[in-house]
Amino acid sequence: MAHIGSRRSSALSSPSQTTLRGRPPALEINNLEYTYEGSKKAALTDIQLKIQPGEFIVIAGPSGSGKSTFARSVAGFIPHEYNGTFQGSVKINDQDTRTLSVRDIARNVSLIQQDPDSQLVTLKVLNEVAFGPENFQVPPDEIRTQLEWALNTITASNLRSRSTHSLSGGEKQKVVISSFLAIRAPILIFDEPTARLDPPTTLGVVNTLHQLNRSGITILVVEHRIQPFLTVASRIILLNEGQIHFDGTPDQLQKTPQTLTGLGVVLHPSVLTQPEPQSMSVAPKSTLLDVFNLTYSYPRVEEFAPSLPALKDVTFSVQPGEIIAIMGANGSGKSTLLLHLMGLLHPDTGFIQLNGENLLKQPVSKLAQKVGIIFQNPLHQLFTQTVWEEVLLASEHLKIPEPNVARDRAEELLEVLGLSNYRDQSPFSLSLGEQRRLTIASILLHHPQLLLLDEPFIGQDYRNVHQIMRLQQQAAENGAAILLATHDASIVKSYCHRLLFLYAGQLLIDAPVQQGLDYMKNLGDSAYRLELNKLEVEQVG
Amino acid sequence: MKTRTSSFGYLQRDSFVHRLNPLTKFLVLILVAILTVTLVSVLTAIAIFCFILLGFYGAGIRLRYALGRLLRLLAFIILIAVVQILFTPYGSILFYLIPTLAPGFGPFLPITTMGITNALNLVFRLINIVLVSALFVATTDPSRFAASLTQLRIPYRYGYTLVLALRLVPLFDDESNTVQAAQRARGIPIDRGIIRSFMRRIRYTFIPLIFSALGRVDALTLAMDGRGFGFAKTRTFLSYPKFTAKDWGIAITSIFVTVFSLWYFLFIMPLPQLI
Repeated sequence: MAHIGSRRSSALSSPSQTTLRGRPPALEINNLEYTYEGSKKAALTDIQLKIQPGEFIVIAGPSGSGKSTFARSVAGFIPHEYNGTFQGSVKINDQDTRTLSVRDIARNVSLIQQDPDSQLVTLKVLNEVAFGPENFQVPPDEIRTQLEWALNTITASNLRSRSTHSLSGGEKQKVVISSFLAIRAPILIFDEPTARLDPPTTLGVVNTLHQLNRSGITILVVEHRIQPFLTVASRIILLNEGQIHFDGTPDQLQKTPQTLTGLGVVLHPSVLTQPEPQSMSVAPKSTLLDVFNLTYSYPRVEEFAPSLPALKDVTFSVQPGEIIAIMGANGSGKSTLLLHLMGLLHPDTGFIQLNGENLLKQPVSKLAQKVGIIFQNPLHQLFTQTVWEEVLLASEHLKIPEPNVARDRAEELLEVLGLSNYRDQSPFSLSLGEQRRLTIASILLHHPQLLLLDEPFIGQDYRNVHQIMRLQQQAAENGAAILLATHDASIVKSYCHRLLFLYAGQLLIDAPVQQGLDYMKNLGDSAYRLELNKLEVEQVG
Repeated sequence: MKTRTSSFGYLQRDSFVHRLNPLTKFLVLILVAILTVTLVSVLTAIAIFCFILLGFYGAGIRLRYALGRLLRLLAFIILIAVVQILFTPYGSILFYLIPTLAPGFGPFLPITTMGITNALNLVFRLINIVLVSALFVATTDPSRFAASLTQLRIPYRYGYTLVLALRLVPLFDDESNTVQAAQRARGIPIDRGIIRSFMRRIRYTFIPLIFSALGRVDALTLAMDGRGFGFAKTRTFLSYPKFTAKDWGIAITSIFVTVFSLWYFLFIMPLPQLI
């Protein structure tokens, strides 16, 4: 560390930078108010905050409460990269962010944003992690040390030789985090760092953040799921409608749980647990979906990518009315399975039947009457000029349901999902969480028999999670079946009937939820550990 | 959605050609392009074509990959050849495509030796330029290229433009596949009726792609700024490609061959147009 510090001082040029370096980093926010261009309502108002070096702060709050705006303001993206109205001040070590450039700030504050894809700049993992230090003129030998440390810290050393576009979503996120760690900024802000990660990796990230914090780094985490951080955070700040609603220690928060009422934030997921979903009351006559011995491998992208099959001998059936969770580590085959069920990927061997008919023989655009899918990234699924047209799009092409019925249903769905106010706005102007809810509305409109949801809860507060799942329950009551890929065990426990657990493309568990979660607990740790070992062995080989 | 493979870009291998300094390869690329454009002869075009194939062999990249690049341009290549053959009135006439139909009407469209020579020439030149560029892109890690450009004191921003362009290509490739898969999943058929399907494609593919492209460029700018891109006038690189004896050898040989060929074929012994 010491030699990196010395290098930094020699690379610093402006006098303002020198003062920055001399004192420990701290953050001071005075009367911050920010309104986005074209918006009438302020995203943040009257934010007054002092953060001491070495604090570990979780910033929570419902969707749209200003959490991301807060993060951007601290990183200096606001006001430098956004045209809006900025009032008050943000000071990093007594330096007003308005007097520094984003790049100067970047050396002291790293903001790790949500979407990993758009943060990857180069083509290879090594270059990606080296990118920051290179910009700050760190000599190659030191870059190598920082790079190894950054990759090891996030257990991503096995990805070293891969090309960035061949990584899975979770792997990309690890690489992005490493690439910021390599800069070694004294303040790190994470915008929903665990949203896409499986539970063992989430725990790993929490531990990593804890360790970084103990080495003196100030950590700010923007999250919906605050529970994993309760034991490591020194302070929790709740935002609501752009204002600070609560600011205190985790203990204080736990003593006053009423603070959380109506915020869509939960301390312990069990608080939200509804009566356990009842097991299927009526035994259905026939299965809706049958999957037999599904095996699939992606074409190999490059020599260094592991060539494990993405799915191996997966067999299961689904009854109408079932809500089934698909769980498994990042890269275990969840998304691949869902893409098969929509007919978008064709298996190497094995087959799929929907209502007894071969699903793979039907054109996808026909299949869309019976099956609906939402992808992880909602941007790929939005096609029209307004939110309203978007919801009605499928019915326009599929000719179901009748236009009048469709319009009523669309009104209802937008209302339930909290999107009514955006009716005439462009879908592209919504937040990621809102876009995801819009895609959910758009596939529910024509009542498909099979609904496939890939990580729909990223960027959703618990209030929205509940609304989304209520809609799924209604669909299930009407005889549809839902397959839901998620990492969130509390949601699975509250809403699902059955659990499928995938491990490296194989179906390891197919059981009722509680039983399945117990199996996972028994097998979980060792299974995941096994996976890590395996990858390391591959790396060596 | 069918594959995760991108069809364009750097292919990671460990071969003789891959190990060469990017600047050496860039020099050879430029020289081959100069020769291809200046030496208008089927003979030299074939010689250059063989040289490029040798390059693919040395890079351990299968011929199939090289041909794959050309297949995409096939329609264009055929069109150029046909236009040249049909509409070049010079040279000795071999035959007429449309014979005399009635006294005073025809014959039309003479097929001439010049037409065929021009067609062959253009086709070979086009193929050579495409292949040699594909060879350069497939064997040159853009980050290494960017690093070696800074060794020539070219500002790193220029080198990085290339890195970014190549980073975005596989991304857009994947995205357009995903967007089309998403359309089908929403019940929008993209394959029915030529005109209607074309209109749908524009409306439902390009709009989301353009929005996501603009969003990506924005986000990418933020991500780069947020990691200090542009912090100072110069930056370091993880590693700098070395200029080895092989590089010197190849660079000097190819400059010599180029200068000699230009001098010899342009001034001493002009090449015949046909072999």
